[in-house]
Amino acid sequence: MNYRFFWNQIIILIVSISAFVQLSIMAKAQEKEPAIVLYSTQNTKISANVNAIETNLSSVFNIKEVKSVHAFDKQNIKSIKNIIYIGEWEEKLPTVLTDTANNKQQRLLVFGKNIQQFKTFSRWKIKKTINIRRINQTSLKRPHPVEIIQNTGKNEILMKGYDLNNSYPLVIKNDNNYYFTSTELQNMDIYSFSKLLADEFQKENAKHPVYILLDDVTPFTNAKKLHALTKILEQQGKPYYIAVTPVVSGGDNKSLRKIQDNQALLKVLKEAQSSCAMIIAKGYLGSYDLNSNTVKMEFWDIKRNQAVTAKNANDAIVLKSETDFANEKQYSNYLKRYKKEEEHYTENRLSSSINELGLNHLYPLGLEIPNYGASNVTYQIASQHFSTMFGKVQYSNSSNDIGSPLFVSKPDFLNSMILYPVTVQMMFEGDRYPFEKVMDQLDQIANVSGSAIGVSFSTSIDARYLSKVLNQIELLSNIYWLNLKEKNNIVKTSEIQITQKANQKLDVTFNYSLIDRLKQSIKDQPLEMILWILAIVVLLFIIIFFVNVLRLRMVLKKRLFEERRSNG
Amino acid sequence: MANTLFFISLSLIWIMLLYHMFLMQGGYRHFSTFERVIPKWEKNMGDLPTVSVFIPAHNEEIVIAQTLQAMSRLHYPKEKLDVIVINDNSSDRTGEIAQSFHEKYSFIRVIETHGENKGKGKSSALNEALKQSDGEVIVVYDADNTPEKMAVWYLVMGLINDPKAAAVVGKFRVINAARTWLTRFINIETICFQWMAQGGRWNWFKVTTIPGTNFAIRRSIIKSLGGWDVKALAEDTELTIRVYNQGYHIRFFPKAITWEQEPETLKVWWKQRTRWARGNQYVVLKFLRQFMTLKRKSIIFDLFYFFFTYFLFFFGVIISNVLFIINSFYDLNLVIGNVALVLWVLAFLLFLGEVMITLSIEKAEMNVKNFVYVNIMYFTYSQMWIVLVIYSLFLEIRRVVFKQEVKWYKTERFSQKDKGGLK
Repeated sequence: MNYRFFWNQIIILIVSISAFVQLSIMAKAQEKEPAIVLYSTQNTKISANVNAIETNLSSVFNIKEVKSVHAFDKQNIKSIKNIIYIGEWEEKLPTVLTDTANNKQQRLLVFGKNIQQFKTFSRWKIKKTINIRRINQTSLKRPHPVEIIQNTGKNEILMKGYDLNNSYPLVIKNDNNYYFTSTELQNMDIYSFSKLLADEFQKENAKHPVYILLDDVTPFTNAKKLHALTKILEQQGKPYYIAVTPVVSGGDNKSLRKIQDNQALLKVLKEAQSSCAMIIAKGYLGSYDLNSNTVKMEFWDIKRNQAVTAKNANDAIVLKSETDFANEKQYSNYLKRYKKEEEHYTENRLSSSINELGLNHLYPLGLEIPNYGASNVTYQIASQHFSTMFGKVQYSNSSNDIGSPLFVSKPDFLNSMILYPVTVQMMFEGDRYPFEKVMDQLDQIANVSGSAIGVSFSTSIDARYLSKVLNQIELLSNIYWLNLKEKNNIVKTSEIQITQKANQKLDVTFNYSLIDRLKQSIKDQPLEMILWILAIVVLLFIIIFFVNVLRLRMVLKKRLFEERRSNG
Repeated sequence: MANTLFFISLSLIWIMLLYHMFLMQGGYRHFSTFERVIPKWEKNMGDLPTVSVFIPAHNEEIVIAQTLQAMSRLHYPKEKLDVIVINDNSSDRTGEIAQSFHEKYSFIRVIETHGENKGKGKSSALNEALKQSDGEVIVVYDADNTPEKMAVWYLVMGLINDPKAAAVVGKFRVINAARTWLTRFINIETICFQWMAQGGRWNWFKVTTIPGTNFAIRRSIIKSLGGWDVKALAEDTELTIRVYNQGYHIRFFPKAITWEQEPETLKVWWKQRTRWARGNQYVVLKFLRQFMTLKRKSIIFDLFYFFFTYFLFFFGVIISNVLFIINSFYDLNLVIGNVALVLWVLAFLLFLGEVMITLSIEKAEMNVKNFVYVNIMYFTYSQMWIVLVIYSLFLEIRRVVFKQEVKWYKTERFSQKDKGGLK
């Protein structure tokens, strides 16, 4: 008996150890290699291209730092296995960098200029700049200038660009190092660029995360239309996401309409949330300038194409440029004031969004920025409230330069927020061939291993298209449906904390007094508050009236008796 | 646009409802206190004034006998009482019946209207009686009224003890309340009107409207005012304003009670109420045009109340109803959400509360049957008023535009004996 028990224990132990070893190997295989991003730009500040490249590469590398070449410190590179250099500005690179790179301890990925300063590429010649019109089979929307590299020897050309007659190398692999002839490759053809990243740097054939984002739900959304969409997703049992803007400006732009003003909609949202849906906060009011009829952006002053400068759009000013100041310090001091305004504004809007949704028992698990317009300040403040973002990102801090990677990413400028990109374009109402366009995009994404299939579906579009899209997605292989309920996630303000621990029940903690709620309501909707006060006063009077009715009823017999007596 | 209209209608409706809520509170206060003065006032009822009771009657053969029967039982020294039936161009047995009472009771007499006052309506008939009487106090009753025994006594008591009062107004009750669904509604309506509008306004502002019946006025004052306005369809409201403008007030003293007959058919109700509504619209427009010259602030306020009632409030209700219907088929994206629904429910509860408290004041009126009627009333009888006011406004505008002559509609009477009178 004891002998048998002993062998059983041994077998269990062996199985356990082998399982543990296998898991460790798998985890290591999935672990991204650490990398550092260095850049050369005209003003030594991070540019849109740097952000874009970093965003894309953050899906295949674990990027530890993003800094100017001049801030490079050899001490911090010990654990780094990849140096990513983005040469946007021609300059002499610090010797400490070229020496480190020449030691060949790290893999080198170089974008754009200054390539010859690295020993690996020193023999290459940059001949001239030409305009390419096509990458692989994809025609570019507009010709893009790239530098022609010659004398590349027997190195492998991973991607080619074409003008009308000839082909030119765009990405060249030299041993284990890579050269990208442009810092804008991701803008030219995101699919080819992403496929290259997947093929070269992913450890294995990764699955496609799939998520459907029912977008643009506002207090004006038709509850029936939304219900038709949620019903389709519920029937298929798929996890999905609903991006909600909790408050919008009323038709007259003076009053606000809140999500609770549309009870039918609120009911649909709550039902969806209690089933397969997860709520994504899409700003608070959805727009910075409430009077604007153009693209609505809440965290970017699209009218002036600059960051938000005042709480009220009517008080916004056009920011001066650096050249208007004698030195950088003066300019920096000038910007400080507006940055403070923007911080205050952003904090207020994001907190209000979470609080408003929370008070209506809609608990957001992520953020989608309205029309994706955002500055560095937006991302910095957002990261204090959210750990997850959906949609696209604005790469530049000085212009509305928007894009998104094809992979789930964690770029440095999002301050540790995870970005689940929208990769399948929103289908607009009135689009003649909405389904065909989506199919094209799906085909291209499916071609890139591990890319995200993030579909943003406007709630104004007919529900039958959603069924079609779902059917098409189901035909794709190697996919899994993203479920944030199976991940750790946190959304918080000083008044509310929404904590999702993997596969556990959502935990919501309120730290919100009635007075706080009242103050907020008075601030947001003074007219409605007056009406509520009126309702309370009227209710008090009604109570007094009914008490008097009861009182008279109780003394009725006495009164009838007195009347009989007085009548004789 | 829809939102703006919605806010306008909401404001108009709720200003009115709040004012009524406030009046109801005043009405209840008045109910709780008005009797306290009676023991003290009784002591001053030694030297009583002579009283002329005017009963304008045009073809009132169905009701005049019971009215005069009630007059014969009035508690007031008969030597100081002069009950005058003003037989105004009757083609039936009104004069004959009244004459038979004169033969039995010397303090009841019949006069006929003459010349310019003949067949011109109530105001003309009253002016005729004013000429042919000399009582220090004039009391007016409609021909379908059966005042309670003490009614005239209390009206005179009010005048003797309140020197500032030009007139004292009593309370009227519906004699045929149990007859039809319509008279039940009217019964509830009249009880509510008297305690809320009459009692409430008296309590807060010392303002009461002369109701056309069961009121006493000093001869000296009605003479100085030149009698009744023969052009006015609502001669009572018109007289009220002129009295206040003289610097007097009108006391509401609900101890003086009369029972009157109300329309039993919709047709009669429609005609009678159209006359009232048009009459009030006429008065409002007449005095609003000259409100700068009015001396008493309280009556200006009251005129605005009437203006609100017959113009703005109904305008608000109509907008609100139109928006409700449109919004049921097409989403107008109204920004006010739950609170509008809450206010709608509260408006209904407020209506219930107000009506039920007035019914409770009238003791046995707060019964299960009336409770059911009150609930139905909000959605039926009250809504009928909206149509009626619009129609009246249309007639009044037409009258002004085409300079038509005012026709005084005499309310059709119903025999109480055949059908079994009181409930």
